[in-house]
Amino acid sequence: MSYAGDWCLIESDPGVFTELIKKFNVSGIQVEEVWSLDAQTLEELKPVYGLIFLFKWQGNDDSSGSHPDADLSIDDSVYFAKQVVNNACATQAILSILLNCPSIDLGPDLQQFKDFTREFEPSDKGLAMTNSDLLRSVHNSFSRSDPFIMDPSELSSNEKEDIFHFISYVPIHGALYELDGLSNGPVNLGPCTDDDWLEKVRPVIQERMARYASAEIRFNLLALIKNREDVYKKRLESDISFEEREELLHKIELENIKFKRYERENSLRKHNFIPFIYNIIRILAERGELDARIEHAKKEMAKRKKERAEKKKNAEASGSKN
Amino acid sequence: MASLFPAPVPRRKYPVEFKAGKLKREGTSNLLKADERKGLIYMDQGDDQLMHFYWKDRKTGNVEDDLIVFPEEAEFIRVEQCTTGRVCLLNFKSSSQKLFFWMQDAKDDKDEENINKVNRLLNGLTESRQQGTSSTGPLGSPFRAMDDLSGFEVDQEQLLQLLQGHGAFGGSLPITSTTPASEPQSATAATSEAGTGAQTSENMLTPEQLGSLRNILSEIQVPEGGNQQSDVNLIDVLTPSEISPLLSNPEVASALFPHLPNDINRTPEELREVIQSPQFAQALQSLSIALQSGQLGPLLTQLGLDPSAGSGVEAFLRAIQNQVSRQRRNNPEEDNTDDQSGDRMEED
Repeated sequence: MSYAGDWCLIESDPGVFTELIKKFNVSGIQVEEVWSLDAQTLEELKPVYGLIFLFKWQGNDDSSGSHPDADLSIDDSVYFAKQVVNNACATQAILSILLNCPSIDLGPDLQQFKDFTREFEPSDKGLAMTNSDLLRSVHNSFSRSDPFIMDPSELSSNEKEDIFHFISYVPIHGALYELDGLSNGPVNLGPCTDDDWLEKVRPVIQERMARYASAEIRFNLLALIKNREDVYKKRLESDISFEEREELLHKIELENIKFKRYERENSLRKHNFIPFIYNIIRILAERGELDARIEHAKKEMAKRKKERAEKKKNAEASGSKN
Repeated sequence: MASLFPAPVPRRKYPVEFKAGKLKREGTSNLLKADERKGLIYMDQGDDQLMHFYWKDRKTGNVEDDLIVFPEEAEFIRVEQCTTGRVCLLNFKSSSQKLFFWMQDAKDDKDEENINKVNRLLNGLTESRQQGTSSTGPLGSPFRAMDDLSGFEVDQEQLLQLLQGHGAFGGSLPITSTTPASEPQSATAATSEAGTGAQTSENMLTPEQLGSLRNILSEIQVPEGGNQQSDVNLIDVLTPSEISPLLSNPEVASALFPHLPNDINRTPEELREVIQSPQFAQALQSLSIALQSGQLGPLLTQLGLDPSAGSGVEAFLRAIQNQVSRQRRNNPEEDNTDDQSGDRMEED
């Protein structure tokens, strides 16, 4: 069996994605979560290279499979890869944008990858991604798996049924494209410019959001944008008012704070806490406090089970409420 | 994996809002008494582009407090000392202004999230995510124990009475502290069913009912379903608020420092923040699941534990307990608190 290597599940968190992109040796990009599509919010984020919808659901979904308008020809100008490995979703989503933006400096590794796979069929492009040691190792470095946990998918039977799906929106050569990893090809949504594509994509995204919300599908909307600090610093170089200067310096400060927080969170994410956990349990045992903690934990577990049973009973009684 | 994305709604929702009442000083004394009015704390960016912290009287609709907050000027902290209610403090670092509030939402499972959101907004970060990440970084932990109430004291008796009257007591039983862990179904008493015998339309429990409910809960044997058998979760064993005091002990702290990530400072403060972080909670969760799957033979061996100790979290904990007892028996004079690694010891 050709061993494609295990891809681990990672959090769809802006801090994780920003760092992931840096580790792919692509510079000048950051990822922000988007929770409002109003003009002002989007204006703040510009320039936006692409938007990614990431979501999971269980079982079948009728939005996967081939889209009636999917362009099945291999258009050289659009890099489209099919999603082959479930857990690789996050990385594939990011690449679907990075590899379609000529204005981004991809760095040697991704540029080489793009050139090498340019002529491949979509499923082979996807396979190439999952076989890439660089991509997989960087991706996996953000997972919370500890070295002793060999096969993440065996751990929770719940996670087996979860399907992770991404849909990207990116302007390519004057047209707005929808790239759905589970579809057969990219979908051309119509002409656009680098300036107005966000407006054009807004109704499309809002429609999806409404659809998912009513089906209670949870999702993230992330934007791949130019590094904010770079943008602010560039503006500082031009002739601006004192107030704007102050505002920009303040914004740069906030970005620094945010990135420090990302750094810390990523550091904690990657850390193997098993020695720490083992030692703190030992200390409790040595102090004779472990029994009390176990008793407390048992009570909490019992409480939760009771609450769940109650909820279930109520839900069943009131019909299909949830 | 994904976090919940709010669907577009006609009315604009505030970045954070939750029910809370005020606590005010009685006259010139330092005793803080709970103001019984039902209120709402919310935050929003005003027309002046500045961040405002509001408190509104829910009955009259009157916005009584409207404070402008600049980044890093204020923090929102849970007051650990007050065990009867969920009391928080809006603490201004620049001035001596302190505003105390008590949570009025019946369930406390959103407390942590709300406190985190407030802190993010107080510091100029406008993102708000439901799960996974919360700000425990350089801005300080929202759960720092309030060592200094600056001479104030909360009238806990009065607050307790108020809580029962408002039905906001559903969240926590008198003595226990809540678990700020990331699990959405928090450990709260099922007081939604306590409607029997209640005297008001809201859920209200008499002290007797509360007492018997606790007894019932501790004896519950719920029939099984799902992965976890009658096992425990590490998140409940290592509840941050319960473990925090332990970390102030210098011996305990220095035993744990080597096992922190390298780029974290070795201070008790940092230790506390680490164990309160969502990432640590996830590590506990992962390990719990892995232990229940019975897959961690190699790990147990490496820690010097008997790999056939059985699967599950409790078995793991007992194995460590036994290991400690054995080591004590073998080395009665050694102080094992400094023992930092699971060395294999001679088997009996």
